[in-house]
Amino acid sequence: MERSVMYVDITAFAVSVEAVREPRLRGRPVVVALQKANRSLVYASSYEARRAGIHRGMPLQEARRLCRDLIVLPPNPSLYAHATQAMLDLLSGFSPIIEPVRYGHAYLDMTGTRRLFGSPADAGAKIQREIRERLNLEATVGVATNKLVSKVASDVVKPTGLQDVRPGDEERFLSPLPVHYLPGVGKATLQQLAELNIHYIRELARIPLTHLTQLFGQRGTQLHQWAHGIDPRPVQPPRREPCIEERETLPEDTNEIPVLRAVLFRLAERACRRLRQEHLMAQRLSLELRYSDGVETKGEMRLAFASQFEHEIYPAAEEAFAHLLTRRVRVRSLRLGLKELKPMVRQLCLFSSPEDERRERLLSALDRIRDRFGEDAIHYAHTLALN
Amino acid sequence: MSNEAGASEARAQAQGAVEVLIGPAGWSYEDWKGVVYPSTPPRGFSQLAYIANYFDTVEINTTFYRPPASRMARDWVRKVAHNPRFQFAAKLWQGFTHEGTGLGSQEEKLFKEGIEPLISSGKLGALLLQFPWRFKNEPASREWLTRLLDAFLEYPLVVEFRHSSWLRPETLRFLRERNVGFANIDQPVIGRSIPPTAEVTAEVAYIRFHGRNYEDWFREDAGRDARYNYLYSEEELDEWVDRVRDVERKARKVFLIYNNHYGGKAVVNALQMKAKLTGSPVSVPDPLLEAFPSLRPYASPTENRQTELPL
Repeated sequence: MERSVMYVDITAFAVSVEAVREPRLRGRPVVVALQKANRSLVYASSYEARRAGIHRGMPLQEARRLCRDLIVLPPNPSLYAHATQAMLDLLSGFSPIIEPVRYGHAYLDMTGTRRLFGSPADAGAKIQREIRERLNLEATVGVATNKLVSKVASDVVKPTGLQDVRPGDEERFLSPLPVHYLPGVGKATLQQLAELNIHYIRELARIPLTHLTQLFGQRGTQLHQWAHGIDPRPVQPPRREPCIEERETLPEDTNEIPVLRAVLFRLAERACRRLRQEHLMAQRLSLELRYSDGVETKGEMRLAFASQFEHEIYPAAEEAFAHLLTRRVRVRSLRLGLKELKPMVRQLCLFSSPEDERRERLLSALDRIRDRFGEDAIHYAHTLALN
Repeated sequence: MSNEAGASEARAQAQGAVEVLIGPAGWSYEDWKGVVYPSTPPRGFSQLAYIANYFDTVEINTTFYRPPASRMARDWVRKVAHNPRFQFAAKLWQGFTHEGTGLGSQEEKLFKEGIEPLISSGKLGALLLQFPWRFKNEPASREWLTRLLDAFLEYPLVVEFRHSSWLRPETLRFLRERNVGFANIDQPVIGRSIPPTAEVTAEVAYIRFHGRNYEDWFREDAGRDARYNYLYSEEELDEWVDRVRDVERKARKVFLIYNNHYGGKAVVNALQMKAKLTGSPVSVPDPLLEAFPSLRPYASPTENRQTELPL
């Protein structure tokens, strides 16, 4: 079956996402940069700013000189992460194999989806429409038989186009383009190629492989393949580490620490119960707080020893919580993850404490009660206020 | 009513009785001797313990001038132990609020250690960040305020602004988002000063009465005593009864603090307000009743009065 790969690129992602929240930014020259740093660089820019000559990586001071009414926004990674997740959720309706590249960019393996969504170009147009209607964002889409050509195709038709490179047309499509269109060809490589009087991909394609490997080492092989439109890399979804995760959104945002601790304990209780049900132990925990203004903060902590008991895991979670809670803002949700899972091994301890044994017997009794009468049958008193 | 205000009202009602705590700002004033306190106090007399006989709160002034010693805070807790309802409102050290310094310094550590006995005993009802008139709603001020609130995130905070540039929906939303109380104030309304309000932005609501001494409020050479030399009239107090009722509906705990301290006037007005809000006579110190006979209609009969001796 013929491969079909799609590259989706949200137009001026960071700035566009900010403009969804604040429509007054639309049509204005906007950049994202740290304002406080003395030698801050532009991280992202709107097309209006680009028209004024501003580009990613330019010093902010220079950008301000080029455009007097430039609007500078601070980077907002949690907003970008949320928007990217929304985009991936939308794309997951089109393909089960998605490889997010960075904020607002992803490859989709569309192989075998023709009967569902029509030709790759039709599917691309559908995705563009859905992104526009559901996320209020614009996207560029490149369709080809591999990742390289789909990415270059989308770059060629920025900011809002759709480019479909038919199977067999890959090399012909790439040949008239300047070499900087090839991903990873930066300033240094461009200079090296310019010294050889190579400016276009067709010129690069004419150089024999042996010469390219002499010049660029192992990378020469890749450059050679790419110049001919060949890219065997598969679309690879990110590997997910096995993790037991519990999250809770508070009925009402709060920054009352006793309430937040009670929620955290309940999360630890639930996660540990799942560990015990699956006969696993966790060696690492992660904690994420989301504040009511949308800001997120995350932390991880390695446990001194792997455990499946809340009386051992909760104190570490509480320590992580104390480190993470640095803002006065009310908290909206908490998420506790237990990672580095391993099979439960009963360690026989020469000097096991009677206190530990008693606690473990208590937890096993609680588990039995919950198995029989349901999760809400019994609670610790300090979490009752949450019900 | 906004959704947020409606939600806070529903929450307050769902959580049952609202605590209304009335008291003066400070308790150690020379001019209160023989007016509020007995002119010849008995041996071992404690002004704070005496105040806790009549009120359920007092605002601690000294924490504004220097970070307190924890020994002193433990002593305050001990002196009000006979009134289980009693909760302190403490003022944040002025270095943070008036000089814009101190965060991350030894003073921050000292301040937190100093008030720890109030926290561990459950007696700190509010920590007041009182900003001066010159602290206007500007980017640098907003940034400093955010840093301060984050630094004191575990305390029941209340912010008092004097400049009206802060009286905007964004400020209230900012405070609400952080569960920080907005101090409603009654002060002489001159120029860009904040007028009386009844805003609730957190579980703790706060109203401060500074008096309405228009002549001396901004007079350069007016001392502290002159500025706060004002006795609210019956009508002026009545204006506040409805506002307090409104605040009560939206908060879990309401502080009414009288700062018009000169000559014991804060105590007079605080007792009057307590009687108006409870609808019952209140216990009045004998010297005060002599100095302010107008308090008689509010005073409970002598035989029912609480002891005025410190316990």
